[in-house]
Amino acid sequence: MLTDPTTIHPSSLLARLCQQEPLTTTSGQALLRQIPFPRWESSSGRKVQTTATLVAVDNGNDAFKGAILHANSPHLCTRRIVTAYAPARRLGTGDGITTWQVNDSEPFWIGDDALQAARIESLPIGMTHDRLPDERYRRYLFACLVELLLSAGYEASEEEYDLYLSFGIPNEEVSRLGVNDSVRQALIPLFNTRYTIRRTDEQGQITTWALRFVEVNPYPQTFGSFVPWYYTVDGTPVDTSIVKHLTLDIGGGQFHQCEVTLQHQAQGKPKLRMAASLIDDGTIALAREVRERIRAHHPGIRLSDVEAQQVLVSRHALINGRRTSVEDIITEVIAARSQNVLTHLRHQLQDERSFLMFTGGGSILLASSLEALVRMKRRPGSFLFVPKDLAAVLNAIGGYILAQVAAQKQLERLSVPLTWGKESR
Amino acid sequence: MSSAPISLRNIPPTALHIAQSLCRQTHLSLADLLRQALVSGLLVEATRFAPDEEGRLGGQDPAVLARALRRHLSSAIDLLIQYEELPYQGTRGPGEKLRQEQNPRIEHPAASEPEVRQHVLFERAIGDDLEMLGLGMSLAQTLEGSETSI
Repeated sequence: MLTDPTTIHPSSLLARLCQQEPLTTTSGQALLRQIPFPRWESSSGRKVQTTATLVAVDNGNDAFKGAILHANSPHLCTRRIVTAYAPARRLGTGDGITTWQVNDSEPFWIGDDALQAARIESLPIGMTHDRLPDERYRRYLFACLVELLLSAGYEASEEEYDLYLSFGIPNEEVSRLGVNDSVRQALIPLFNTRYTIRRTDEQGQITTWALRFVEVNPYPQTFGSFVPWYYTVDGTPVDTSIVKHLTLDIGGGQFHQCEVTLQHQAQGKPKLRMAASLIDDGTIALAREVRERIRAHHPGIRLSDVEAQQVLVSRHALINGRRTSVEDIITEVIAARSQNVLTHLRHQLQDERSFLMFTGGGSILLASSLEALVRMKRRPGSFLFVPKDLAAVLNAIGGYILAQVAAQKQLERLSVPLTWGKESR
Repeated sequence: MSSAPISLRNIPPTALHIAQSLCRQTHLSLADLLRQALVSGLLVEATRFAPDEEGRLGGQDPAVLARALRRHLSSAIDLLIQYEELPYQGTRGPGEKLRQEQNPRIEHPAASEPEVRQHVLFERAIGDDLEMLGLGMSLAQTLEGSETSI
């Protein structure tokens, strides 16, 4: 994938990801994959030493986005799984559907498999304290994590996977003082609790996984996208003349912006200031409009939010038993309603002091109308559309880098020798 | 044919640091150590390029190169196996499992040597920036006091 050096610095992590290069530092070292971690064990009343695997999750309303380093190679693996949950039903012959059970839960399906079910259930959307207490949402989250581990080359084990988690949450839930109390209370039940996940694949093969979050580091979702743009894989900032960087993250559920000001100093690296805010609904507004129009033609079709989003993305709906193109409806809706989304951009487009970076699944969906508008208003070099392969998962990728930073601090707290000069032998 | 090397430039500081540490440890001169590194390194480099029309790697018969490399790489391969960093560990038998650790509860008196090297190379600049922004809250640390008091 070619990148424009005026908008993506060739040394940045984002450029390395675009080129699908291994994520090794300039001296050839891989990023941290695991760290030693002292975990509190209530049963024995003491800390036990364990090995924690670094992982990042962007807890989006429309989809789980995860990032983790591959178990054997220095490549980052990402997964996006639609936020969909459905109780599993017994199937007849033929390949089955990957089915999950978490602890003693009902068997269930997730993601695209759940979308095919007759009884798809809506999971809560909104703020962290609205979502995490829902038991079905927790099951979904842990099932997604197993899918992420699998895609990164990990295998089921009787032993527990202890996870060192960077957790992307809505920007407005994070301040300079950390996260608010409602977020903290919502996270506590997930923390340091063993979850047993039973996965039955399409061929009926059963594997059992045990996961535990030994650390949770919340971060503002949209800031996650800035991180791979601004930092190299070594964790140093790129040399840039950009002073005001605005990430416009058009997600399924919400449309956020994150402004980072780079205050260049006479000496040393720039000082950063960050302000993030919610602009509007994401593409869910379009999806709901599509749902209404389909229902106007086919009163018997009542789509949930997640199903409507899927119709919007796939441009097909299940009508009279057939996978039917609804391209005309989608095109009409995007043409009519995308202006509403784009209206919010006018101020940002007119303010030529900022560099604009468009990301999120919605930026892919609205690509044609969005790009036409931006190219009309802005000069080349003053904006960037994150390549579509990365746009939907970039917040999680940034989260993974933040996990690296937190892990390094953790190791410093453990008094691990950290300088090359010290001989450890 | 290129001229003989006159000076060595643009060696990454971390590589030079390794060389200096090894000199202190082994009492070899820096020149001797770099000479050895050049010999070992060229054997490795010879494997990284496609063979020529006669099937030679860096002008060497592959079998001869393999024998020469074995002597140089055995210690490196031992280390890779010990720390599960061998590149082709993924190509294992169907019954063998890849796990995060043989026993996750074994004592880790300190991070392993490779880990230590990795940490050092991940610069602190980003950590400083995050502190400036007030990011990087740790739930484990926040709850540590209350958990240990249970």
